[in-house]
Amino acid sequence: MRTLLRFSNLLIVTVAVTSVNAYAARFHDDIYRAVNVFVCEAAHDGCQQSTSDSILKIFAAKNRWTLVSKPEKADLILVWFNNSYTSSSALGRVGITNTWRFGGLIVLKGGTTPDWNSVPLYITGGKYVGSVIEEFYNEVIQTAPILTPSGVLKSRHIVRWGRSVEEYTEILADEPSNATAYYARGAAYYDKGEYDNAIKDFNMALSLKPDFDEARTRLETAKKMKAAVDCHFQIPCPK
Amino acid sequence: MNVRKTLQAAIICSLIVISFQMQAKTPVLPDDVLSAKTIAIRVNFVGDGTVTDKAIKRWGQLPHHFGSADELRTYIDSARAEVEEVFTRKKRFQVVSDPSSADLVCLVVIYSPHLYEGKVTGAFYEVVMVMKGGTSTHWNGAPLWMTTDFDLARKNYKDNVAIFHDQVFENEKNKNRVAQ
Repeated sequence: MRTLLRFSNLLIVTVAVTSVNAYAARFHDDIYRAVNVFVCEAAHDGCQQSTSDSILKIFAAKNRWTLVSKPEKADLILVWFNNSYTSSSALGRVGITNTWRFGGLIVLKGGTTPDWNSVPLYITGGKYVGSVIEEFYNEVIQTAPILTPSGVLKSRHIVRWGRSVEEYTEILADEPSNATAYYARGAAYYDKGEYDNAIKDFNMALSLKPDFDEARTRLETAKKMKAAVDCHFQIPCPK
Repeated sequence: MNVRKTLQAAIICSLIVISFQMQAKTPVLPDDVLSAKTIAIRVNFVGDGTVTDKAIKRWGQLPHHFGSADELRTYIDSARAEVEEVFTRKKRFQVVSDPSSADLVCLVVIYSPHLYEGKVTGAFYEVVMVMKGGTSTHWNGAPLWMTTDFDLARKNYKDNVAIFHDQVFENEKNKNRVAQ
């Protein structure tokens, strides 16, 4: 029974750690920072602003990015292209026709970014370009910096999962009243098993932002974990 | 006499139509391309995973999932060398290694055939894109020229880089003609 309980505790820890890692940002910070986006279709004479209804509808529905008409005014440039190829062959008297389709998306920095860079921020592809763009857009929304996106975007730093304690500490040195950064550093401490520090940071996040429900939940979890560790996972813990 | 005049008019008209058609085939390239002297080459391969299916080796020259980072690096280096060879042969742009000190950047993107619906189709997808380099004062990442290709059997990026050169030469010829 005791072994089973220890195993279940271990499972809880594993699930907690995995769920934190699941929020790890997938894309380059410039993608998350972007507000103005230029979308264009690739062509020999450059990249013409996209007028495709289906693609414009995707952007209208999601409402995270604002479409702009000039690449130099954009934070991000989304270059898309479509290709199809039809092959025919005859097998006996039966003609076989295959149509291969491919849609690609390349994401680059726009003209508003101060540092020049030709490295694509993201490249992807699939059968239909519409669904490729929609999938990318959804993933950006789903993996975007956690909590109060407007506040985070206004901040000089994007606070997101997956960074080290030291990096969050650097952010806090610049912005000592950033509740999100305390919360994220608390989670990083939690990942490392430093529950005392995690509790301090969650408390700090709550003092800066009393309605921070996620921090409150985490604080409770961290307290339970600290208690469990303190008694070496003996269940029930001696008081 | 009337027949002769009609024939002359018809020939002139058809010459005008042909010249318009020829002009239409060659896009007008921006000054950023025509004034550029140096270019850097960047090759990106899009794909992941490792080689698990020996059968994909039958695609020979096509890119596939690479067994190691070194294998991928070898493939990318060889693609870069092939593209560089076209630039060197055409003698229009000087190839430089650092994109931040180049007038233009030629980006070649090669998509793994595995990417297509998760099946090994052998289909080959690629993009050749030319954009502003680091020397540009008002830069943005929007391509100045771009072409895409989809083929079942061969690598086309060398041909596409050659087409880019042809269009640059054609544009320069037109520009000189107008100047004269």
